[in-house]
Amino acid sequence: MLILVTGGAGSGKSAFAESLLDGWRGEKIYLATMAAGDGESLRRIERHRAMRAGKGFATVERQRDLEMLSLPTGCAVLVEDLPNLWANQFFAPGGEPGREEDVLAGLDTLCSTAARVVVVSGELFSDGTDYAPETVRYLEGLATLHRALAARAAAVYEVVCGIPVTWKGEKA
Amino acid sequence: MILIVGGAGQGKLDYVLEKTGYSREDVAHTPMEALTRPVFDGLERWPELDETALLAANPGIILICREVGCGVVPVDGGERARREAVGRLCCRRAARAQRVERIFCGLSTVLKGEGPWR
Repeated sequence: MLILVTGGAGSGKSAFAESLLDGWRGEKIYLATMAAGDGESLRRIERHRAMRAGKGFATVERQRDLEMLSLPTGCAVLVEDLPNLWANQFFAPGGEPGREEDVLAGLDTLCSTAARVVVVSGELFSDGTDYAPETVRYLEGLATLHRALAARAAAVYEVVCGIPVTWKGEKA
Repeated sequence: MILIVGGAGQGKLDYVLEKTGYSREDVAHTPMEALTRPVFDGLERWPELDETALLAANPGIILICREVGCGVVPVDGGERARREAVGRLCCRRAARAQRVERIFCGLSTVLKGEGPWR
């Protein structure tokens, strides 16, 4: 079962996404996608680690190509997060920009192994800013991924000020 | 008149075409085309639109507008004014629309008007 959780920066989307796996009896994997680049991102990683402490997650770090992962069948996976995963694929060093299909294939593989996959993403689409063409292309790709995942998902939630708004599936 | 709003890339036009059965040839991209076509996409590019003239000519039109007001306020005064004007335009149209929907990840939520589409 796939669940998509999205929301603005600092909206509480990660805490909500984690809560979707409260009480999960099997293995819980936290799939961390961020390549830490500076002090701020390291602090953010630390904050997320502290938030997960004691909740029974095993952390797996993987920045792209999720189809290469071998995870235990029937586990639950929290993917944090899609904007990073897509950026790691799209802005791959020294080569063609990555394709949405590759990210989707990785997530589809994940869904075929795991019993529950929660994907955390972010809202970057309503600021009305004219970005450079490469950034526009990145945003279009992320939006494409959102639509494709929402179509596949059993539930879609937008977290606003810590409150989950249900767009699809069981009301949070 | 129906108003459809949502962020960039969320699938607004695809949603309208699926709901109505119209094709891309039926979609206007300028105020001039919008006088005679059933769907007007890209309202956010026309903050100075003559709404009165458009609605007089085409009262049943479906307007599609990108949400542009949820970012950092631009440094450029013209850009600030444009965002503000688009927001106000949507408020005015929403107040008069028989139906307003917001599209998000290809999914819809009805903000106004619970009846059937047409």
